[in-house]
Amino acid sequence: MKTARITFILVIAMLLFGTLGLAVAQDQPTETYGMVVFLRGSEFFNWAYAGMLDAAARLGPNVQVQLLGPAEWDASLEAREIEQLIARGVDGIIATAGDAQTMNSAIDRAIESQIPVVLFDSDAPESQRLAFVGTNNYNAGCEAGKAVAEWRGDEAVVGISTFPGPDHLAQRVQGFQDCLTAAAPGARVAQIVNDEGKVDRAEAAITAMLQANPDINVVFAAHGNPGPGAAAAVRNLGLQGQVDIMGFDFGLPVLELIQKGEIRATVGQNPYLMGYMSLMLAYGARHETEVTAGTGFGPYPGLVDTGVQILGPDDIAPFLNPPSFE
Amino acid sequence: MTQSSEAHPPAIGVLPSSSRLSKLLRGRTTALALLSLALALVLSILSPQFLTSTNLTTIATGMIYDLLIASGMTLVLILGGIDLSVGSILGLTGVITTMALQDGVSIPIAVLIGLSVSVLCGAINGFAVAYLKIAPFVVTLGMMSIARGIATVLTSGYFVSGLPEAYLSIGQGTFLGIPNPVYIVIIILLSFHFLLKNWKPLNQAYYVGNNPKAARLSGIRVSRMLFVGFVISGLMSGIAAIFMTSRLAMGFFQFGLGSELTAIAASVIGGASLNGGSGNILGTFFGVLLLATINNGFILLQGSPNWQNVVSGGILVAALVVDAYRRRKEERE
Repeated sequence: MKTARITFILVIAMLLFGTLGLAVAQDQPTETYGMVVFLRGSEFFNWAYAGMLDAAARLGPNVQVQLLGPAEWDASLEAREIEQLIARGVDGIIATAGDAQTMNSAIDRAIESQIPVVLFDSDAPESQRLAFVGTNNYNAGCEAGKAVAEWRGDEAVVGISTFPGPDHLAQRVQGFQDCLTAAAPGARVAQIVNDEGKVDRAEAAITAMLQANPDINVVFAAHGNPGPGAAAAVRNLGLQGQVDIMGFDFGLPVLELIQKGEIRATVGQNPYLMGYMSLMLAYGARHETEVTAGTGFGPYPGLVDTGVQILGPDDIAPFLNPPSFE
Repeated sequence: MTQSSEAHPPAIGVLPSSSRLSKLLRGRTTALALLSLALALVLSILSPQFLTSTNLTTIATGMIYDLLIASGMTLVLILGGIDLSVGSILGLTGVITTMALQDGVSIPIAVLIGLSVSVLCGAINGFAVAYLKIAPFVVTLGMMSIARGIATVLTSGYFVSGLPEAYLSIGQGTFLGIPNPVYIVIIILLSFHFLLKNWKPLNQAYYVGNNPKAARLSGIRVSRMLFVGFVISGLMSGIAAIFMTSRLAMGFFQFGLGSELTAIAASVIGGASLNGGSGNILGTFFGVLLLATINNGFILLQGSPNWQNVVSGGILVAALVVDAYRRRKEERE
């Protein structure tokens, strides 16, 4: 009887505390942050959203996140999503700019509506966004240059596949050249070819480059597309084992070629950290403290470099199954 | 020199004799062939790598996609149309074929599905142009956007990889050291050239392009001809997609991006006119060859990549100027 009474009291106590706890949790208002991307569903942005989800879990159960944006590369649809998030009065917006000019005004309207906006991967530097979280392309090229210097030392003779125009590619190539020759003064870049940004053109261009420069022993693909083209070129000329390929990004064809031994390594960006850091910065901006308010010390640095890692055959397994979100 | 170089279109319903046609074709095409030969000669002197069998194979392999697309474009240009959707149809066909393969569909069925998609896209273009009388520029611009959009939505920017080895052998297989697609494309082009020149139903394209009203009055089924032209153009893009995806071992929504410009450039350099009624497959072949040789020569001679597009664009402008000059001369005569 006594035991039953104690059990009854415990159950009542638990119910009481449970209800109180629920009330306390309900007192904390839910905060909603939206991530707006182009090519929604792509592996790169799924990695970024996985980072955002992990950051939300760290911040607490009252922080809710959503993945939004068009499945195609259409910045105007992204801008429309941002407008809708402004209308809903969300607490923060994380976005990647499919096209900076198209998105500037929507981003600025969000800021004017007191909604923190943090951009990741692709910046819109002329907008009023609070911060940009992404890869410093000069540093990314630099890491590739250092790795090639380790592979071949002063004997490295490199051919680069890129295309004229985009600043970020020029920065990667510059970083590559600077760090390669700093680490291995005898190393040199023999030729830079125009692959027009296409896999099929890369094959023809790199094949011709390798014939014109028989001493090239490394090909650096400065963006995601020429890696498979470089592998095909090396295959065409029967130079497997004599020419190393450094790819960029970890698209599945590049990873498969690393598994086959046709590409030696690739420069992997860190989309997970982009998503994670972006939410942390937007949350920090939403929760100004007495110290940061009005001082300009806000916990959101203007630029955050999420770094890169050089991924070889032993490193790629975790990337073969990217996260998927509907 | 092409049919349009005549002072007046031929009498409707009376086809020119094949010998005269050959003579007309020879002028412009021969000039292009000589130009290509001269370029090859200069490059072989300046670069010892140019005339190697490996390099010539590289040039030939790099041409296969452009040759297919440009030959379809040539027919459409002869008919007085333009097809801006060829690159997007290539991208969509490649994505659908490779996705079907990923889903375990057998290779012949997946290829058939892919080619059916390309034919369907061409048929939609052809129907809208021929029967709904919508301007080809508008129709194919719309198809360019729709096909690329579907390819993007289907893949979300993913590469479609992990294709069966047997499929890869379509594009990567070789005979006597030359990739199999090179032989297949040569056969397709020779057949296309012969049929366009000698087979009356296809040869009528020149009349349709020169003067559609007169062609209609003479009993030529102009609408059907236009429809067939766009279907063939779509099919050519589809075949290029099969070769591209099997050779590069992946499908990608951006495949074929900008191909329409190369195809138009090669066709115009080869003698096709944006006003219709002229052009031929052999000329287009030399147009593609010229552009591919220039790109190859640029790399062999260590040219700056920034100037590569300038030179290719300059050649296109020169071809257009020659075409305009020729037309003005005809008008004066």
